[in-house]
Parts: sequence; structure tokens; C-alpha cells
Amino acid sequence: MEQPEDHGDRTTIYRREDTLPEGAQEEFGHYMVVIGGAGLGRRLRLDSEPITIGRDPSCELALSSPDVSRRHCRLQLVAGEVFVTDLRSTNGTYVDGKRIEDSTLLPDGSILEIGQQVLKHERRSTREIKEAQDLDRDLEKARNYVLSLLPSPIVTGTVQAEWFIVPSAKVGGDAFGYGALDNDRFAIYLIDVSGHGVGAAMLSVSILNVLRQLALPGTDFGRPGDVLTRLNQMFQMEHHNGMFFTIWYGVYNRLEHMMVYSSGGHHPAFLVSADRKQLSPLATKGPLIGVMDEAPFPEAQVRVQPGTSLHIFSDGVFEIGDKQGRQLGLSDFLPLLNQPAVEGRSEPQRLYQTVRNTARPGPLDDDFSYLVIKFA
Amino acid sequence: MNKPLEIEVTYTANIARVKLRGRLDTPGVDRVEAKFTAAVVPEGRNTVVDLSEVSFIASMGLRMFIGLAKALKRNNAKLVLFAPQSQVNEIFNTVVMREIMPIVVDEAEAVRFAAT
Repeated sequence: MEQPEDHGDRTTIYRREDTLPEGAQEEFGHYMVVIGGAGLGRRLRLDSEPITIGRDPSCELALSSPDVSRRHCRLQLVAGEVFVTDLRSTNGTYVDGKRIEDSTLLPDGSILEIGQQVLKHERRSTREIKEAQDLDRDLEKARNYVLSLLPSPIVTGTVQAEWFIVPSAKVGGDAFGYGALDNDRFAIYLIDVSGHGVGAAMLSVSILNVLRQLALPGTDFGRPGDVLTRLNQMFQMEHHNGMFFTIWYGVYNRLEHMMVYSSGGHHPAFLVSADRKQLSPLATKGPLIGVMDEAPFPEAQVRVQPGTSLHIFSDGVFEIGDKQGRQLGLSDFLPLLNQPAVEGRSEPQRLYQTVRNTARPGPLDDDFSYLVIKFA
Repeated sequence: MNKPLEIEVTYTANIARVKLRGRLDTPGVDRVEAKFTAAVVPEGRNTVVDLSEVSFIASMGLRMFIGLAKALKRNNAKLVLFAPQSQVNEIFNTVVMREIMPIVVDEAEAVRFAAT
């Protein structure tokens, strides 16, 4: 066979060894991984010494949450198995959703719930742990990149903005933005890509960069219908790994105190009156973005009274399972908007905490993204 | 704990009838999508889907139906959904799903839609 001409350039790919040398034994350990609550992703190794979990600083795993007792429960390795014992805690210790009474086996993969704190038991080799830690570091970088694209809160001026976002996985498919188009007009949007995780995040970053840079040729970013029509042409699902997205897009005119808006498959945003008694849904009948070749995206407009707040959020805010196993929806969530502010918390943080207290333990099912725009 | 999503496929003449039971969330879709696709797409069967026992649909469930409808359309066949529960129907209304595929009240109407 004729050999290709050698130009002197060579690329050598080394395969990382993924098998141990013959005769070597992998070392396995038991780990508790935080999958919900404070310290997400933290990994704690269980050794021969018992580990006490509680609010008391002397505990091996000290949690500051008020629903955790001073000495809440104890984990102990016995004959290679992990057992958990409740130490007469006030709010109980749960294994796979069941409150335990006595010392209880914690099988590999089981979920331990202590108040809002959720930990998963994993039996892993040191090599698997290192791989998981490497992956976690990469995901953390991806998460930080996505967060770096989100705008800073606005705390002064006639239009103020605050937000709160919690992806259900390490990175999520939600994104949002806002900013002045010119002296008079201010654009606001929130997008929610189908699914969640890295794939959804990559598409949401693409869309976000298009909107941040006003990079839709021939499009008036002051016309929500035009923006959604153009996004629909640009992000057809066949060309984006079968993913589509929903969007709510509005433009506020500071001089006229009018908001023009359009939605693509997204539930309504809500204008909340200054006294919090009136909620006005803002939605139009545009379809999901990227599904239909040609689709109409009608616009609507509304007068914005001074003191009003605009609430825009993803469906992960209200599509949650509660502690009783019921599936909640938008109508269950809306009454929370009428409730008073909580000092020391932004409105999105107040709503997240309320949703979190209602939801079953563990990470929420979907990304939680919440944006509030206040009109002075 | 919710029961895993179940799928049941039966065939009559040139129509596939698919019954789903449970939650059409990400784990549910992961569980049934391959079987659903294999049962109806290769032969390009007109397909009616009974949603009367589907309690919830997430974006991955919508994505599964949209993908199937597009694949069937390429094979000159239709996907028709019927009897969604109110919570699922509310989501269909929000995403304007009826612009994308027919969603009707009962099986008889679904079969009529699929056959025309």
C-alpha cells in the first residue's frame, strides 16, 4: 500500500489507562454526597469512626439549618455496611422518603434527608471518585460561565431588576437578560430550553449570546414579534439536536409607560400591582420556538403603572411535586405573589424559599429561574 | 413514589393505538421513547395516543411527541393525541401544541383525524 507523504507533523493520541495493573486491588469507600441544600456537591468519606450530623459545631458534619437538631443523626460503618441512627431529632431522619425509628441500613444509592439537607450514599472506588471530581470541576466551570452571562441586578433608577436562579443539575437550560435598547426602551427576556443539563445549557448560551449582542440581522429588537420570528427561523430543532425552547420577550417604553410583549410557548409573565392585590397575566399565543418552519408570533401591549413589578419565571418554579406527592401547577403558585415581602430577602429569594419549603426534599425537578423588574 | 411510566401498543388495521400511563417527565420519556418510536415510525403507521392516564407532561414529553409527529409526517403518517387530563391540557394550551399536532377529546375522533 502506498504510504502518505510524510510532512513531518504528527499527532499522537495517548489513551489514559482505565484499567488497574494485573493483581492490583481497587480501593472502595463509602461516601455521602450532598445533592440538596447547602454545600451542593460536597463529598464526605465514611471511615471506621462514626460521623454525627447536626447543628452543633462539634458534629463531624455541622449544618446550620434551623430544621436540623443539635445532634440529629449518626452514620456508622458496620461490617462494610452503612447504618444511620436517628438521635431523637425533632424533625426526623428519612431514608428513601421514610422516617426511621431505629438504626437503619443505608444501601448504596439511598437518599438520606435531614431537614432541607439531602445526601446520597455512594460506594465508589477511589478512581471513580477522582473521575467524578474531575467531571464536577468541569461542570462547575460551565456553570460559572453560564452565570457570568447573566446581567447584574439593577438597584437604582426607574427600572430595577433582581433575580434568582438555581439549576436542577449542575448547569441548566434556563437563561435571561435585560438591558436598554436606547434611551427610552428597555428589553427583558427569559428563555427555557427543553430538558436540562449540559446539552440544554449549550443551546441556552447560544440563544443568550444572540440576544445580548443584538445579533439578529435585520431585526428590530424593540419589536418582540420580530425577534421571536427570527429566533424561530434561526433555531429550528432539526439543526439543534432536537431541542426547542420557550421564551417571553418584552420591551418597556419609559416615556410612554407601555410594555409590548410576545411569548413563544411560554406561560404568562405577571404584572403585580404595588399593593400586591392585582395580578395581570401577560401572554400571547405564539408556539414553541424551533418547532414550526413558519409561525406567527403576535404581540400585545399593556400600560405599566408606577410601582408595578413584572415577574417572569421558568416553569420549574411552579411545576413541582409537594411533600404529599401532589403535582403542583401555576394556579398553586400564583397566590404566593400576593404575599408580603420578607425583609432581608429579594422577592425572587422569598419565592424560592417558599417553593423550596413546599417541595418534596431533594433538588427541584427543573431549573428555578426568577426575574423581577420593578418600575418606579 | 410515582409508578414508572407504562406504554401499551395495540394495532388495528393501519392504526397504532398507544396507551400511556404515568408521568411523562424525563425518566418516563427515557423509559418509553425507544419502544414508542420502534412501534410506529418504521412502518409509518397513523398513530393515536391515549393520554387519559397521563398525569403530567414535562418539556421532554412534548419533545418526544413533536419528534414522533415529525418522523411520522416524513413517512406520510399522522400522530393524534386524545383525552388529555386538565393539567396536561393546560400545558398544551400554553405551548400552543394544537398548532403542531391534533389533540382531540376521544378515541373515535382521534381515529377519524388519523384516517383523513
